[in-house]
Amino acid sequence: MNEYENAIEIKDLTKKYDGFTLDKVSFNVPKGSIMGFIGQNGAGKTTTINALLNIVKKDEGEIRLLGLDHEKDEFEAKKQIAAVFDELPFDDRLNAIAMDKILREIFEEWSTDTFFGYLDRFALPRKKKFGKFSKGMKMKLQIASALSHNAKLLIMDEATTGLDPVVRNEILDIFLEYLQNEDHTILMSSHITSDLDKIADSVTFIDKGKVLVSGYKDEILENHGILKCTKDEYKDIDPGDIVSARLNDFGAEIMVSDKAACSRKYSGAVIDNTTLEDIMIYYVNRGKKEWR
Amino acid sequence: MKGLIYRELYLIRKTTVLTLLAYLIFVAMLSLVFISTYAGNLRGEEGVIEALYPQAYFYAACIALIGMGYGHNDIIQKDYQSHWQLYSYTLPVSEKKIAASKFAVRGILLLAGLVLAFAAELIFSAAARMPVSFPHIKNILIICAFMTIGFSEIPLMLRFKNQNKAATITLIACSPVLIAMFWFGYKFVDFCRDKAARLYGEVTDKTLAKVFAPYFDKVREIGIIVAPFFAAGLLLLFFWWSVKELKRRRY
Repeated sequence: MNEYENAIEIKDLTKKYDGFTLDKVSFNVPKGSIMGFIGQNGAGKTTTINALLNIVKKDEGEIRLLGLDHEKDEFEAKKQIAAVFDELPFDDRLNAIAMDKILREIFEEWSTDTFFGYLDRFALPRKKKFGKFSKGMKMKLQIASALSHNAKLLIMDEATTGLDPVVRNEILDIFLEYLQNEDHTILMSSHITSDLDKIADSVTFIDKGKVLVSGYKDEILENHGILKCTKDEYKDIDPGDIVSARLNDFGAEIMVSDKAACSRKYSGAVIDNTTLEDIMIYYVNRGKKEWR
Repeated sequence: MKGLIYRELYLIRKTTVLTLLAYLIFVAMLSLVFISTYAGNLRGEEGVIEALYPQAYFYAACIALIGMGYGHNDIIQKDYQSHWQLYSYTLPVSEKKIAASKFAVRGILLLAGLVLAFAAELIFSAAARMPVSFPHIKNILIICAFMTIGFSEIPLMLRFKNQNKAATITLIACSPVLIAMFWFGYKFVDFCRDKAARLYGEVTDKTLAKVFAPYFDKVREIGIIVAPFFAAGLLLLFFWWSVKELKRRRY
């Protein structure tokens, strides 16, 4: 049994495509936590996850999963990993009974009882073909199969995208339940930041192939703030303090990355708390600095 | 690997049942024709068995051997469409095992086709009151060995993801060989016609058949020796190619 502190360790991960480069991405996901991996479409979330799972070959960098090298010890690591994608990767002609027979031969620790237990809990039919499932049912099925082989690491790529709020909440509850075991870890990529606001312990924000922010969610939310001021006051703000600023007819709303320091520096200014969605929007527009 | 094999067999079960149905109908109909030459309304008709029996096994073998593999042809395309191909990389299974499972399924289907082809020969010989033809058995074995070319579908589909694209590229790549084969066939028939005219003074179906026969026998004798090596070589080549394609991870 290998000991590890971080369920995922990524250091300087680089992958070059024509027109896109994943540029020296580094972050760690501590064991027993849930990390939200956020960024807009095309930011590099899926490429990073595919590189983690060795679905795409990395050009440079190091990746360790559950303390194991993701290439050398690939199959040992994958016995303990479950991946959930935004679309069901099972053929429409299959049903849950057939899927159980397939996966119990693939995963040593597959539990038929757990799988059917989840199906009953999600009210999913056993004999109905997957082609007749709704999107929510398909996602629940994927999660049921991901949680039925005692996986220690759950990697999800846009798993909650396209689901209605009721199903999303149901699924988030399952994740919180899964995390009750301190050996379990989740990496959840999403651009629905409200889900991550609810459950994530830490957050990594990626844009155009580069990690912009990574750390504990509470610290990130604590450090960032939106400074509201008039147009005249805006001119006096040190550009070094500004991530980006949204201008309107009355003034400016400025994202600052060190709320405490800015409170001292600009005494009297109103600095509101921020959300992950705000952080994402302001960082995405950091190149323009000023936007409407 | 058992799980992967079960999955593919499960997905092709419908096509397999349809193939079996087509095979059963064909074998049953032709057997009834043979039986009716001595116990039915074809009694007294001459030449029916002589005309049909030498060909019947060939068509039954083609239905069995081609039909059994048919359902497996588009499974990789559907795996790409359903994202299973992507998902399979997240499973604790090596590329060799993934490729081996596909080859095992194809092998099981080919073997089942072979058994059905042999069964058809036995049924036809019983129905026609003819002895089981050893040359027919040899021909079935040779056809079966050459059907291993169908295993190329696995690496080709892994490479091109799409059946139409794979078929088009294969046709283009193989066109020189196909043209050479047609040219050789044309020249051979020409040669046999000349020989038949020279030896028997006329070119009829019977004289042509007499000229063809020793060449066919010779080709069959060579074929039965070459076939296992040909099949084994192709299987090794296609397996190596499939593993290579899987390792490319085209995502």
